[in-house]
Amino acid sequence: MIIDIAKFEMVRHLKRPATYVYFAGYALLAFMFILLTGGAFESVRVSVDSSNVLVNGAYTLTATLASLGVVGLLTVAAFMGQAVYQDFHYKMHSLVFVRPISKLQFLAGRFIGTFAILALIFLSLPLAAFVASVAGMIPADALGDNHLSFYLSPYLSFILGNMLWAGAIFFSLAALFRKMMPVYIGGLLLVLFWVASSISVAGASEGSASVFIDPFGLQAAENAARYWTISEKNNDLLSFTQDVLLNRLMWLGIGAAMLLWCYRRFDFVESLPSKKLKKANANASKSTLQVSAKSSYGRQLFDALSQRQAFFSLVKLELWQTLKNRYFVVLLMAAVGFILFASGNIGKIFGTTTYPTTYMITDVLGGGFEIFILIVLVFYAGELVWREKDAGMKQVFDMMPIPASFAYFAKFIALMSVITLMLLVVMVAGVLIQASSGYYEFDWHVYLTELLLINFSKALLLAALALFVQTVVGNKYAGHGVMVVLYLAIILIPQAGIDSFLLRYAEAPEVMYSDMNGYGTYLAPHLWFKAYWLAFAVILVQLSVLMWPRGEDARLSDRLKNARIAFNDQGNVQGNAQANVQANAQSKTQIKNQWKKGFAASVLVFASLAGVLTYNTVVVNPTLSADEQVENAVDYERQYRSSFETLSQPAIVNADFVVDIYASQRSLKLGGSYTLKNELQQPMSKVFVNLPQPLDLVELSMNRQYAVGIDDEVNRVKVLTLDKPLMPGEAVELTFAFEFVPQGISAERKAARVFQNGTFLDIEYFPTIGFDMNRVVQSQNTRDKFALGPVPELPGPENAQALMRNPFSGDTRWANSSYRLSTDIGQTAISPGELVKQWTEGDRAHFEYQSKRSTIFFPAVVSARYTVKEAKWNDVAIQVLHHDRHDYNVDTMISGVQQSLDVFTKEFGEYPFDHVRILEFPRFSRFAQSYPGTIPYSEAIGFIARLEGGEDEIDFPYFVTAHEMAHQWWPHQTSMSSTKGANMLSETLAQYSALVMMEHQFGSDNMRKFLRFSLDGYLTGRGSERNKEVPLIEADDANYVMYDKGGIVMYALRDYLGAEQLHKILRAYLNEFKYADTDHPYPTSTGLVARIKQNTPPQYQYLIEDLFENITLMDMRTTEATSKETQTGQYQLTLKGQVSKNRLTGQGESQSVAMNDMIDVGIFDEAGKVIYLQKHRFEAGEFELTISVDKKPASAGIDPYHKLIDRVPDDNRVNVGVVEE
Amino acid sequence: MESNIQNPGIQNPSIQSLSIKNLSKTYANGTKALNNLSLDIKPGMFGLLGPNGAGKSSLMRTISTLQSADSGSIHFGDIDVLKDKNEVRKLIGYLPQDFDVYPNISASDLLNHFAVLKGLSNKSERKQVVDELLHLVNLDDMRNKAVASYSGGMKRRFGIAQALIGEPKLVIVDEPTAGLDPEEQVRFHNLLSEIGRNIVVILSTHIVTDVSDLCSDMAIICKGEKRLAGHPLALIDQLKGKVWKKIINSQQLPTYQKNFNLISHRLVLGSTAIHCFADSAPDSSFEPIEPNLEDVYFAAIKGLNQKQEA
Repeated sequence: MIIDIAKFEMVRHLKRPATYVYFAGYALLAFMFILLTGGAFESVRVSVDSSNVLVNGAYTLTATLASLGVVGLLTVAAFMGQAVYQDFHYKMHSLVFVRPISKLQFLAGRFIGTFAILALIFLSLPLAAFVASVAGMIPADALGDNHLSFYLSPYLSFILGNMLWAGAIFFSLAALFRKMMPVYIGGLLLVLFWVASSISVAGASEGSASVFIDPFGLQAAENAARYWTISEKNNDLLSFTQDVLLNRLMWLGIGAAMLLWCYRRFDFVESLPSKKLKKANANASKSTLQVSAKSSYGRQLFDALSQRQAFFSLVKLELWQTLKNRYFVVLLMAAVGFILFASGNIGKIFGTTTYPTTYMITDVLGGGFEIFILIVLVFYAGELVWREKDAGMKQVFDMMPIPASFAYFAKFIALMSVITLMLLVVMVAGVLIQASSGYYEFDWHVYLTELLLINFSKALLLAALALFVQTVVGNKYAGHGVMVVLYLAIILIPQAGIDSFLLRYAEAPEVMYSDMNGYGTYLAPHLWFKAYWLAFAVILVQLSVLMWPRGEDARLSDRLKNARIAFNDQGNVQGNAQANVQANAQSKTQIKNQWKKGFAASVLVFASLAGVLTYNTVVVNPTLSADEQVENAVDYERQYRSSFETLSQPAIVNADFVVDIYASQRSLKLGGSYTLKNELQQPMSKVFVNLPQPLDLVELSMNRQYAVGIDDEVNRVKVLTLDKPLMPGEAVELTFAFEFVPQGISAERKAARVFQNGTFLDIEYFPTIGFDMNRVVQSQNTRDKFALGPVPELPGPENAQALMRNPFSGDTRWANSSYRLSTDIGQTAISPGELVKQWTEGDRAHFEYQSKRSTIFFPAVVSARYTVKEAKWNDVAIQVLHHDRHDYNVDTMISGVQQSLDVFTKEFGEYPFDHVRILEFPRFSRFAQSYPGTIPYSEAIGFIARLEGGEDEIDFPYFVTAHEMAHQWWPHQTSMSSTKGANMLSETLAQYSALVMMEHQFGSDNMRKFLRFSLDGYLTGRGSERNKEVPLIEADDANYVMYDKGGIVMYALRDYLGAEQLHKILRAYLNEFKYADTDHPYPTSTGLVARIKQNTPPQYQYLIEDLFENITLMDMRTTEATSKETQTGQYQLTLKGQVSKNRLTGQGESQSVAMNDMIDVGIFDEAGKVIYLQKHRFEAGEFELTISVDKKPASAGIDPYHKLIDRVPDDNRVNVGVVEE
Repeated sequence: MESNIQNPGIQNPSIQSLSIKNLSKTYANGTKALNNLSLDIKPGMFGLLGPNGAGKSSLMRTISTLQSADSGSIHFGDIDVLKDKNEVRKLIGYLPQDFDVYPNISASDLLNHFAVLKGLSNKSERKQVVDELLHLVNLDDMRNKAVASYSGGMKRRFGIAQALIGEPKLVIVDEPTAGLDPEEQVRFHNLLSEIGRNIVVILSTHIVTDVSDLCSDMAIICKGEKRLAGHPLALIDQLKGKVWKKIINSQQLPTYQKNFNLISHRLVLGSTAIHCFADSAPDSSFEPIEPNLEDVYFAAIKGLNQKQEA
């Protein structure tokens, strides 16, 4: 019987076209997604991970299919809910329930049947993914061999698994409540729960309980594969780690429990009207009062007043029906829950909390909350449009003498009040979150701007679209589906190369608020595009009213006919002799004419805005699409690389800049001159000039006879050919002038960053000399597509030319610079160098800076309104120039500077300037960067960090300050050669120096935390390597090698060699290369490593190979630690475990190697203090050690400080068990 | 309990009639719901009789602006019903066959809401109307209860109340007595016939007695076509002397169905009584009977008396 019912259910679905529509829909979704991921359309890919992970590899397929399965849960909700709800909805339950079937048969049959049909529908996902992989549209390099199991495994374990338990919940909700609403609310809560949990779970370590709360298991899986390399991601099926398995089992259990509960609670008996009602009913029937009907029950008036009343009555009813609903309350609570959940992670910088500024609260709204709002909108739009139909009163309602617009707008208002209430609740929750963490600097204008101008307006646009879709599609569920597809299209088409905001409904340039600069230049273009889409939405609204689903006409042709009648017909009402009906033919005609006028007006407004914005964003401020940017880079490389990459260029030996910043007008004049000197041995006749991209050229000339050889407007390149070549030692003056004047509306996110407050001009704004390798396309896939060959690598140390060049400025070595700056009064303009003069003149403030000595060529100008905190270190003046309110960590930064100067001057060498300046700049970029004596520092990465001394906290402002200070030595004094591994000589040394400062400030016991943090960065980073991992000695532009691994390696080296020895090496290195002369080659990483090797005792020579020259991963684990108290009061500790050493290829293929290494063994007491820390010799394999200590040990292990690199760092240390005698 | 509300409608009894010409409608699935249907409906009670699926509801919906027609026209007085929908809506009271309402709203609140939508803008007058109507349909006691919780019969009574709001000139009721107990049916019939004195009331039903009891005019439609129209008594009159009855046993039925124009057959005390259409007695075993409206109806549906339009 169960089978019969299940079969019946399946057949029923198989006969419905909707089933096939769903199948096709999901197939299309998966197909497109895989194509996009594989880069079938354009050079830009939707990236699940990094571009070298194969599209049909195990990892990508699992991630993609499982995520699409989660998207599909809305369909699961609809099907599972309908499986039981259909009987109640069509009032068939009394029929169904009298049939001789048991409760079990009914429930089980329906559930199984529906599950089977859903399993069929979602088979479309792996099928379509497979078809996409063999369709020949994906570049071959993104594809590997197809394995059936890679498709089946995610289908079985994630898609079906989630469908099973979530379906059980949906099914039970529908069966018990006999309504669909709880089902949808349940679905929504699940998705919310998922979003919230994925925020809080992301990065949780293996085995932690939080991995289980992710209901769909994606995060558990993601965490399991966190440190996987590309080859593992491509080939290893996400085997069920214990966490994934437990997660799956737990949620299946929840589903099963829900079904059981449903079975016990479900009642076959039709719910009867209450006794009270029955009695009243009986009374009513008994009454035999005879009343006669009259021919009139009230005068009908259709004047303005009565129309207004009718509209308000509709609005009132819609609001009442929508808001006075317990599900709406659930929804509001869910919104608050979401914010609370998300706020747990608001503004974390590397695990350290920040002050909950208002923009951080509102930023949450832009992310996951937007999806939440969208779901609510889509859902309520369906409920509202079809409310009368669902209630069974469509016919009565539709023939009420009111215009369709009344019904439409009443529903629109109800829909928007739902959103408004949600946003208000969120705002209140946001304020409470701020207040509860003791932060009272509420930026009300930010709340208002974000919620009203950005979120509300977007919701308004989406609401208009959702209502339009419901109106046109004419079916609630199909409407939901169409809306979801439309939304996905809107957010995904940029991946297909269409990223103009003019073509993506409701989208507008991103807005970013900065405490320093407010909304700056971002808000105006955003609002222009919002206005443009609003005009379009007005057209949608008008079409919706015209097409309003009134009456029973289902056919589109009939509905179009009705719309045409509504639009055109003037009404044949002349001579309508209704005495009691005030049918005013004239006013009616007027209304209809207004209709036409209104429509014409909105089309006109839309068209004009389209014209204005197209003109502004295409002609005045051309916005390059991502593709065009790539094409330009390709063109730049194709045209110039072959002839100019190795062409020697004159060096800038002196630079004088004149920069005038008009902050309030956001305009800029930047001029000056370079003294270009031939510092090499051969004559030079071509000067290759890269013009600053964001600025317009006014003038560029040289004080010698020359011709303009190349003048490339697109790539912003000028090649000047000297009539008489520049001979060795000769110099020439290059004079230039540029300007930027903002014009019209710009959708360009990278428009010149001349801001009202917080302008930061970096190298991008200055002309540079020589072919710029930084502009070359770095993605191997893109390079292949354009036949550009392999990703360029720096040459090895054998390349003589590269040894004489540096990666920052090519042939330019050390330059003197001067800056004459002016800015708006009230602002301070800063550049590297000594401040030699400062004055004001009218409404302009003037500053002159002059470099005391020649430095690395790194021009920069910053201008903002600042509060200054000053301090001293010996004769060095320290200044932190910061935004008024951001004084939280200024003292930390100052002490970071002071202590760095203390330590670095002692350990490495003298500091060359008489000042250190830290300058805050707006959070539009998130970095800090060292210029000679001057450190621009983003407001986002330290100024608002909130340090409370928590255990896992990392004092980031201090760390960043120390790192940037270290750059004043490496590479500012020891600029390195443009050879392979160059970054080891800058970032690795700076990172190491910063770790030294961390130990100096926080003690060696805390180093474990910092090293663990770096280790995590390294392991995660290598898992998403785009190309191939390199050993440290070849450090490329991969952050996880040069920063994370570099820091760990150098710290380990120091541990083995001793700080004294290592710093001696570094000092010698510094002394050799410090401001090296023009005939002295720059340093190389191989040179530094050789230097280290020379000074390393024989027993540690293996370390150099392990740490620098190879990719080496240790596998160290402690399995057991027991201690026994001896008669002498000592403790005898027995430690068991395993250790092995593996060498890896760049692609992550691992091979174990023999070892005979010295590794730390540490024993700790109850308080975590070291009792014992010694190096022991280990060979590969199992080990057992016995150590006697004086104090009672609490935990012990191998390499407890994570000095060496271990893929599973958590199992190094275990708690000590006590063995009783 | 007479009300003293002034009724301007009576001062100007401009009574309109409904004229349907050549109305056709084919649904997307190919069903011909209305096939070149023409009807002239004068004020008074008009019975629209037909079996399930005859096109009654399609016709009702088309008249009440809920559905478009492929061709043909409907005029109510001067109003082109198919085009000038909102004007018609001001004049119609409609009680559809299936009727339910929003959850959680009381009878008086909902009736008040409908009254506002129907243009009753004076608040006190509206309140009085709501009271009167609830009293009329005998729902006074239940006025504050949610309509959605009403029994089927009570919901229908509420439906009647909402259809009568204002001064409808055209009242359409679809299967009005379904779900009403006999007593309620009587009350409702009385109510309808009172309303039908001045305005057009269209009663769509497949129950013959509803029509014979109430209607001064009627039409029988089947498969979207008009089969017969006229005054019920006149239609019965036309059938006089043409209906013959015979008691047979049920095994013989197929034979009779083949050889005679059978109007109807029904079981009577274990035997089958057949009614047969013929100008004269088919054979001596048939006895003449006085035709009733049921015979007219069945004969019309079977196409036996089609041409005898009144």
